[in-house]
Order: sequence, then C-alpha cells, then structure tokens
Amino acid sequence: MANTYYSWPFTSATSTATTNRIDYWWQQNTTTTASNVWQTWTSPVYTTGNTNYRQTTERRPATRDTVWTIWNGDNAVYRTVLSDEAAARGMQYQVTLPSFQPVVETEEQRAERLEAERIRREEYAAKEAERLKLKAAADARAKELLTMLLDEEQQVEYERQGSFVVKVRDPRDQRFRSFRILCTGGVAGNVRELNEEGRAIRSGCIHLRGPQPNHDHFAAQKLLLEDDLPEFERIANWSRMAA
Amino acid sequence: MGELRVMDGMGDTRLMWDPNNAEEVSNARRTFNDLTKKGHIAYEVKRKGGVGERIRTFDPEMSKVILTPQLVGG
Repeated sequence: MANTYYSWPFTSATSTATTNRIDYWWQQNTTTTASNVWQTWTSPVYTTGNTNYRQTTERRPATRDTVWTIWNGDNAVYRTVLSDEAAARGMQYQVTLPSFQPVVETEEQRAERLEAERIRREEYAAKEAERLKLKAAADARAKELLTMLLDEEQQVEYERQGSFVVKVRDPRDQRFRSFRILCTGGVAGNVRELNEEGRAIRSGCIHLRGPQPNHDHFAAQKLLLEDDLPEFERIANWSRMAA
Repeated sequence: MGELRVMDGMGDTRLMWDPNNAEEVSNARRTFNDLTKKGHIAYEVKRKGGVGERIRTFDPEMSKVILTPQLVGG
C-alpha cells in the first residue's frame, strides 16, 4: 500500500475559548471548549453542521486531565497518512502515532554523546552567566535612576523599608493624596493609596509595557503619579484593601 | 550637556548631547521624536529628587530627560 506523508497540521486554529482540530480520520474541523472537550473526545458520534460523523480511527490516549492539552497542541508528534484504502473510502487523513524505539549505542557513541552533552552544558552555563551579569547591570542602572528621582525623605524611607511615599495634589479637588510605592517585591499591585492615618486603602496595579528591571517600573510609576494623577488612576487596576 | 535616559530592558540607554553641537542635538532630537511617536512618555527632571515634568517637544537646553515606555494596567 502506497502511503503519502503530509506534515501536520493541514489547518489548525486555537484560541483561549475554543479550538479547532482536524479530526484524525475525517477532514473536518471540530470545535469544542475546555469544559466540553472530554465529552467531544469520547463521543462516538459528533455533529458538524448538519452531518454526523463517527469516530473510526484510533486516538491518542487521553485522560480528563490531559485531553485539553492534547486537543490544543503537541501536533508536531503526529504525521498524517493518506492511504489507498482511506482514499478509496473517501477519507482524507489517517493518523499514525509515532513509535519510539530504545536507542542502543556503542561505548564510542555513548562517549561522543556524553561529550556533546558536556559541551552543551558548558555553553548554556556561559550564556546564563552572561545573562545574569547583564541583568545585574540593568538592575543597578534602574536602581540608580530611581534613587536619582527620590527626594531626601523618600531616599531615607526607601533605604530603610524598601518603599517610599509620593504625595500629590489632585487637580480635580486640590486636596493632597498619598501613595506608597513598594519596591521590595514585584510590580503587581505595588502602589498603595494611603488614608489620612497612613494606612493602605487600595492597591493599584500599573506597570511598564515590555520587560524592564523592576526599579524602572517604580520610577515610571512615580513620574506619572506626580505628573498626572487622573491618568495614573485611569490606567491602573485598583483593588480595595481593608483599612 | 543634555542627557536622554531611555528605559529599556537593559535598565536604560543614555544619550548625551552638547547643545552647541548641531549633530548631537539632531541625533538626540531624532531619538526623542521617534520614541515619543511610539508612545514613550518624556519627563524633564531639573534636579535630583525633583518632580518630573512631562514634555512633548525636544529642547536642546534641557539637562536631563527620562523616556519611559507606556504604562498599562496590570
């Protein structure tokens, strides 16, 4: 039997809500969701448009826990086969699962493999060391930039407790408002609005677009807070906190 | 000397110019305009610990300008 091989996938589309998959046997897109995928996977008959299709080919083993992941991806391990038999029956695709055979290697091959692995490990370690060195330099520059923006009081606070308070006048009602920017953790929700007693009443989540050192986020938060409080409040996502 | 500090993944990139050097001023102005068109926000900081003032046009007499990428809600 002559077989013609095609690379997977012929068509595919994914999204967080639904996903399309080429059925293993029939060239049909099947749409399902994470909550319904197990039912779709195990159902012997499903409907596409006005047509019912019966699942007639073997499927990759899946469990309730793994089915959504399998449905969505890992296509690279599959190849599709258009066989004479399938073509004769009007079928489009048939999937063959890859077979994995244990590798038997000689001592010489083993030594070569181990040496290649050692070289790769060393190359990776060197790259990682360089990456960490660059990251440390970037962090240091960002920290220096932030401290350049702090006044004396903020500087003392920052050194002592890893945060500082920004007091700004709200242009809408001219009253002063206080925000504490926490610099010891990440950038998620690190801006706290304080009440008159200095307690946090809500947290704001606002950060720079793109990867940046954390201290650049803190500096940008301070700059926008002081320059345009309404804009800062509009952009940030706020969560109430127990006072 | 004027200084542009552009926040990026490397901490920041600095670009300095001499207000009396037309080529350096032109280079700094081009960088400023390119980045602000892309959505960067420019603040002039006049002294250490001072409040940044948002600016929209490049002035070669400025001493220190910080360009930040856009802020987004998290």
